[in-house]
Amino acid sequence: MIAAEGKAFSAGVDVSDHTEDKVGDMIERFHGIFRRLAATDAITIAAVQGAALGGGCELACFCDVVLASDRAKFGQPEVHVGVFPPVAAAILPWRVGLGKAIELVSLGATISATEAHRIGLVNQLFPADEFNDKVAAYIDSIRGLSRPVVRMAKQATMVGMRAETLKRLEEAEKIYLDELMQLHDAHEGIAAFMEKRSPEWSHA
Amino acid sequence: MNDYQYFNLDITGGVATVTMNLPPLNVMDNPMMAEFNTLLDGLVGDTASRPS
Repeated sequence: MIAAEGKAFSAGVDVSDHTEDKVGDMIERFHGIFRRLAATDAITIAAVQGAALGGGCELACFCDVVLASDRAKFGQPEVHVGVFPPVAAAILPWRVGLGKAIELVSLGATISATEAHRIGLVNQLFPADEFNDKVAAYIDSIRGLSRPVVRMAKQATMVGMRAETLKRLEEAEKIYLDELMQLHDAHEGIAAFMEKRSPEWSHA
Repeated sequence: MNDYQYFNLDITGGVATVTMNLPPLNVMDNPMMAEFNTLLDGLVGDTASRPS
């Protein structure tokens, strides 16, 4: 299970690591997390107590089960700073359907935990003031299951999907590094964010 | 059991709980992500948290 201390689950990857000189290393390390998560047959669970934005949202929605506080929110604001989230692009169409995936990934939407629950991004929605107890109860409820049975049931549920997810991630990564990074707007978006100003898109 | 700078790790009864510990926002920078990778590698090799 992946959880977090603090107000937010995660506000994502440091924007200053998205600059041209650092982006290759950043993508390798960030996507390394997901390649490792994809390799396990254990059930992966995200306990999202606050905002999950950008890479934080990708981390949550890559997990098999998402438990969320009703105070949480989910969003992929990357396009607002001239980039896009490759992991979300790879996984969200399966999780929430293509239309909602496009809204989140391509249009930079942020949604409430209630809406995330409605569209299937969140499995279980818990009141904020009972969140830790409810998460503990959920974990207890599955702890009694046979681990190899659970593992095989996950394998069966995901037949073909794991390899496809990794292939989709690789393709999305390629678009990000080889094509997106050629765009003036990608560098303008990151620069504008770091300089705390509005980006001026040249649409090129 | 906590050898990590950016995470708390608890393994109890077959469940590994990895808690990001960079409040308030848990922003992931390069050192944190490197440690995340190392931590996940350790979990894959740790029978206590494996599903069988």
